[in-house]
Order: sequence, then structure tokens, then C-alpha cells
Amino acid sequence: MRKRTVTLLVAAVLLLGVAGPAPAQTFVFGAQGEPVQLDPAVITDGISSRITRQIYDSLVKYRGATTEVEPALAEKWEVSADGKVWTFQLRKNVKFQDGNPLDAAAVVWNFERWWKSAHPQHENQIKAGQTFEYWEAQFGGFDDKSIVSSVEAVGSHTVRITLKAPQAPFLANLAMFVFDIASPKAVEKWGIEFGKHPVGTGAFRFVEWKPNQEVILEANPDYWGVKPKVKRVVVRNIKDNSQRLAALKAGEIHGMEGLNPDDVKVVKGDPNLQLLLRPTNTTGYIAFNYKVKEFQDKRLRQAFAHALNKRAIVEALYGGTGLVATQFQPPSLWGYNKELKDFEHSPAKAQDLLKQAGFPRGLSEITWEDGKKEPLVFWYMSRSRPYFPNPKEIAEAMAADLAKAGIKAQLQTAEWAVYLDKRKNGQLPLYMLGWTGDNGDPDNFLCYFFCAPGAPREGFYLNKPLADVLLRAQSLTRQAERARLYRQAEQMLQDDVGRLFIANNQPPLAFSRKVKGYVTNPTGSEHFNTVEVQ
Amino acid sequence: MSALAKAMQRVALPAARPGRSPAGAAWRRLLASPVARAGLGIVSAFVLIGVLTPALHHYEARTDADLTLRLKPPTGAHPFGTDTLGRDILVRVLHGTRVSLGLGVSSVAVAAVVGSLLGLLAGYAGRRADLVLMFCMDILLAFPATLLAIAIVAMIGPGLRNSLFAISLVSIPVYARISRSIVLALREREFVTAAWALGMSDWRLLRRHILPNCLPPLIVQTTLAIAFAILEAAALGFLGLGAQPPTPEWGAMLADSYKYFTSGAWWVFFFPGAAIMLSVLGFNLLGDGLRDALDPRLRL
Repeated sequence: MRKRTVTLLVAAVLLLGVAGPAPAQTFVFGAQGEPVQLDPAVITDGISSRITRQIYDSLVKYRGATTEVEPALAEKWEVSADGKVWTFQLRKNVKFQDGNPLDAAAVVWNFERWWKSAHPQHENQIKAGQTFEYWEAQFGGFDDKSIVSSVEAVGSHTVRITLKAPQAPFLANLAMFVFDIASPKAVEKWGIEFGKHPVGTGAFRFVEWKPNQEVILEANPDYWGVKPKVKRVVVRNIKDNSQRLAALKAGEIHGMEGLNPDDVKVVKGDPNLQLLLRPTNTTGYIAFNYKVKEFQDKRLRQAFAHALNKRAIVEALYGGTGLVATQFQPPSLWGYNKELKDFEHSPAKAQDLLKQAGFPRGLSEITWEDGKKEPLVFWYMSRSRPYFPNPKEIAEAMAADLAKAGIKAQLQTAEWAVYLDKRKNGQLPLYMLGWTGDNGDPDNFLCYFFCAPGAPREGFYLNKPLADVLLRAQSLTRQAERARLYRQAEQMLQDDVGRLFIANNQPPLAFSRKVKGYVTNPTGSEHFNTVEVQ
Repeated sequence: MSALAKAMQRVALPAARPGRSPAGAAWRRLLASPVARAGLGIVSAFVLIGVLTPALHHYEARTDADLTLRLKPPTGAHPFGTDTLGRDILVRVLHGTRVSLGLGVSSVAVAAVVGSLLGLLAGYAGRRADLVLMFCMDILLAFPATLLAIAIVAMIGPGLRNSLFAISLVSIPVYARISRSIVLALREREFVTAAWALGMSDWRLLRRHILPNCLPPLIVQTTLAIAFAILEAAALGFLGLGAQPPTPEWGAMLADSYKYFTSGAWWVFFFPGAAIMLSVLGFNLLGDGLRDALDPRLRL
């Protein structure tokens, strides 16, 4: 009897050995931090949305590695000739993970929650300190301020959305992670706690969130789309970039984002790892505060532009994944202006311009409009972002370039939230920041920044003609016409040296060679249902 | 009267032979210990570097960057290699000596003077002054020193001067406690009572008898505290709260470079780290040696 057991065991081991390892059932992804919460409507950060994109679907989605829109929960749609009435046909037989059906009523309920400030599930979020920030930014505001005038269910699976005016990027907006459709029943059940108990229609359903450790998801067997290839997804929080890479090398995780630029070559040189790049969709810039008298002089701004050696910075500090930026839009966008020529790097020219502007001995002190003088401080970011992966080093390199041309700036930073706050209130005289596109539309880059001339958060930059061009481009629907206007806008922005655009980046991701089928998307919206771990 | 005090002191220091000052004897004892000699050597070397480097070599940190020379391993031209902006690490470590050591020494000097005076006052005046002062010191001591320093800098803003202030503040209570405890013990000693009974003024008593007797433990504490302050300054620099870029400060240099561990550029963090370690070691060895030399009881 015992002998037989042993023989069986040996046979089993041999069999397994011959059959080779079975495909892994779990995909572990290393994230850069802790998600804020998992209610897509009120989050804005990439760490949270990486997880919510697996749990929920939106009406339409970005196709593969592009920002072109394809059907998701909406099977097909049509738009009226005036561009104001959109009719969506929803996919039939789709269920939320809590068993409730996805129908027109559920979609309308979601829109009303985002849009109407009196909606109970909107109001309670506001009271809890949350905001529906993206709805406001993409659709003009809440209630009557919104560009949306009605959302109705015209059949059990037909939704009609009426706009007050045509909005060119409307469909692209709907594919953003914030407009993922949540289960109305679950939101009503959990209220402001819904972000800890997410329920959608997506390829994975939520299992557990271990604070400061990981979020665990499992495959949704009823998923309407491409069925997940792994049983579980674990998104593990490892804050430090080097530590995360060490975990990847040790096989504790299968993939990660947030690679130190200098680790790109480490990943390339490791036979067990592979490198994937997200198509570029991000631009880092330096902004001037126009309440500073000196910066109102265009010659001075030109001096800055000629002083910086962008090529050297991009080549040395981006790990080979960066590109020199000539304008705000990254080259992947259809409004990109190929004709634009960059400022030549020439310290001599910069010094000359400084002299013309009345600073023969260089610039080290600034004067605010109210007469207050202070040393010139160049604010650098305390946190690494895709557009400035190592902000302190880049800032030091740029400050050295400026100093060589006679512009002596002190470097200073602040905690990230404080930094963004100071920027929003127009308190930073000279600062670095950037933008990652959300929906692949040039409007999302240019209009977000320059459609409100004189806004404090944009350093009081006042360029009315530029805003007019951008608003006109937003109201048109023909892409060729719009592209022409965006190219013109970039030219105007460069002629005025309104801002200094430094670099675009193709953010690098690292994976184990065992991982197949991960598709990077410029917006960072990536779905794990195609991922396979061998 | 001071003759009596001197006589008392001589009795208290049995190792001192007649005709030699206590300081001279202590110095001799210090040099007799190889460990203390090593500490003294390291400390003097760092002090020399800190003083001579800025005098002999001009360094313009603001314009120092050459991205074409980035992350080059140590060679003849750059004995310590270059950092992530192509800056010579040797030059920055040497110039960093003045910043890091200067920060350590000056913050401890401030703390030592303020702390010991407060302790003297508390111990000698006694009663209410003692209660209030020591209560304040206990509050400061209740927090871990590094945490308190971080909190202070977070409140008043980052920078070299503010971190100097924070480090001095957190080092004060130790001095106050040491000097107070010595004063309390001395007050009961016969020679002090005698001097007081003979009508010596408070000020003179403090200056001639009590303060000199406080010095040995305070000196020992100071050398050890400098080591702590250098570490503290490095910690603040590491967290981005101390010296601001591009100032060459060891802790900040370490913070900027530790992430190159994975890409194999060991020299960028090794040399600033070694400078911190060596200088702290030097002050600690010297402090240990001084304690042995200044406290004759340990030799009995």
C-alpha cells in the first residue's frame, strides 16, 4: 500500500517535470504608491486608475496602443449632423460584478451622479472632501454650467446625450478612466465608502485591499470582452524605484512602472527582463510668472530659451527614452507642428539678449509687480513624474545652464501637494512642471492651459489671441481644420516664448520575460485582460 | 582663596604630578592612547581639509555641470569619479567638508554654550528657575532628536541656516542636564561651601570653581555631539531639508546618488558616505579618548 503511494507520487512528480511549469495564475504588478481610492469618478491619479481600469469599463475605449476610440460598453453610436446629439447603443447581456444588469438606466444614473451637484451620491462625496474634477474640466462644470444639456434613456439599452454646443473631443473624453461606469446599486449601498468596495463590469473584480501593501483582483468569468488570461492580479505598492526594480529582478513581481532613467540600460542588459515604452504623450516645461516684471520682457524670456541646453539634458538624464520638445504637444498628437524650429542653444546669444533687456551683469534678483524684490528662485518638483523623471537633477542641470549665461537662480522645492498649491495660486516666480495627455486630443494639452488667459495657475500668462484660436478649434469638428489651428497656436506660443518646453518622454516599463501581451497606451490606461504570465 | 581650590583640584586629580597643569596631564594621557590618537588624527585631517580647501581652490557650484562627463568611474583625472551631472566627486566631497563639518561644529558650539549656561543657572539658582528650565528641557528630550529636528525644519523651512538652528536646539538639553548635575554635586562639596562661607560672590564662585569643574564632561560631550550633529545634518540633507542644491553637502550628495546603486555606479554614493562615516568615527574615537583622559576616576 505504502509502496504504491510512493510510486504514484514519483510518477506524479515525473509527469509534472515532463509537462513543464503550468502558466502562472497570478500577475503581480509593482506600483509606485498607494491608490487613493477605487471610485473612478473622483480620482485623478495614475496609481488609482491603473487599478480601476481593470475593474470598470467606459462606454468607449482607446484601441490598443493608440488614442483612437473603439466600442466598449457602447456597441455603436451615432451623432447628429450638428454634432450635438449623441446616441449610444449599449452592449446587451452585460452584468456588473454584483449581478445587476448594465442598461441605459445605469448609464444615465452615472452621468447624473457626475454632473448634478444635488445628486445624493454627488453631494455626499463633496461633503467628504472629494471633487468630480475631471467632469468639471472636460464638460465645462456642473448643473447648468455644463456643456451637457440632457442625458436620457430612450430604450432599455439606448442612451441619448444632448450637448449645448458641439464638442470635438467628446468621444475621446468619454474613454477617459474617470468616466468608467460604476454599479449604481453598489454606489448607493456603500456611499462614500464605495471607493473601498468597487463594483464595475470590467475584466477583473475586486477581492481585497491590504493598506500599504497590495490590492488583489480576480478574473471576472462573465466578462463580455477578451477573457482574462490570469486568475488573479495583484498590484503591489513599492514606493522606491530601485527597490521595485530589485523586486522585479528577484521575481517577486512580474512588471513595474516608474523606472529610474539610468535603470533603463540595466533592464535592457538583463536577459530575464524586457523593456516596454509608452508612446510619448507627455511634456515637461518651465513656466514664467508674469507678475514678475522682468519676465514681462520677451527678450529676457528668449535669453532663457537660448541658455538651456535641452539636447544635452535629454540625452543624459532621460535614459534614452526622452525627446527634445519644441512645443507643448508631444509629436504623437495630430495637432503637432512639424515646421517649428527650436531655439538654438547659445549662451552668447542669451547674454546678448540679457544685455539688451537691461541686465548687462546678469539676472539674480526679481521684482514682483507690487514692487517687492527678492532673489530669483527656480522651483523644482519634489516628485518624479514621467515628463521629468529625475526633477532635481534636471533642475540642477538647467540652473547650471542658466548660470553659465548669467542667470543666477537659487533652487528650491516643496512637498508635492504644497508645490501644486503654490502653483495654482500663482505664487511661484519660475517653476518646472508638465502634463500627460488624457485622451489624445490636442485640446487636452493646449486648451487646459491657455484657454483662460491671465489665470493664476498658469502664472498669469495673458495671451488672448492664443485663447481665441484654441476655443475656435474646440468648437470645430473637422480634424484637418482643427489641426491647422493647433499648429498655428503652437507657433504663436513659441513666437511669444510664453513657456519653455523642455522634453517629451516615452515612460519606460519593465517586465519579466515571462509576461506576454501587455499593451502600453499613451494615456497610461492599460488593460490587464490581455496579459499572460508563462 | 583660589589657592585652596587649586589644592582641592590637585587632590581630585591624583594622576597629575606636581608642577604639571591638569590640562597638560590630560593631554599626555590622551596622546598615550592609540585609539584617541587615531581619532585626533582623523579629526585634524578633516578640519585641515575643511579650512584649506576653500582657501586653496575656488569652487563655483552653481555652474558646475558637464553632462558629457556623467557617471564616469574613478580615473586619474577624477580620482573619486563623477556624479550624475558630471561633477567631480572629489572636489565636492572636499568642499562638502566645510559645509558638513562647519554645520556640525557650529551647531554644537551654539548648543554647548546655551545648554551649559542654562544648566549652570538651573543648578546654581535652584528652586523655581531649576524647575521651569528643566521642565522645558524634558519636553525637548521627550521627542527623538532627529524627529524633532525634522519637525522644526519642516516648520521654519529648509536650508542650511535653519537646519543649523534645528540641530542646535535639539542638542541643548543634554548640555543643560550634564552641567546641572555637576553643579548640583559640586554645590555640596566642601571647597565650594568653604568658598561660599568665606564670602565669595556667586559670579566668582561660578566662574572660578564650578565652571572649570564642569568642563571635562562637557568637552567629552561636545566631541561626541559633533559626530551626532554631522549625522543629523546629513540626515536633514538626505531628506532635502538641509543644504539646498547645488551646495555640496555630504548627506544631500548621498541622497542624490543612492538610486544609482542598481545601475552599478557605486562611487557616487561611496565617497560621500565614506566621508560621513570617517568623520563621525573620528569624533567618536576622540570623544572616547578624551573621556578616558579627562576622567581620572576611570584610571584608578
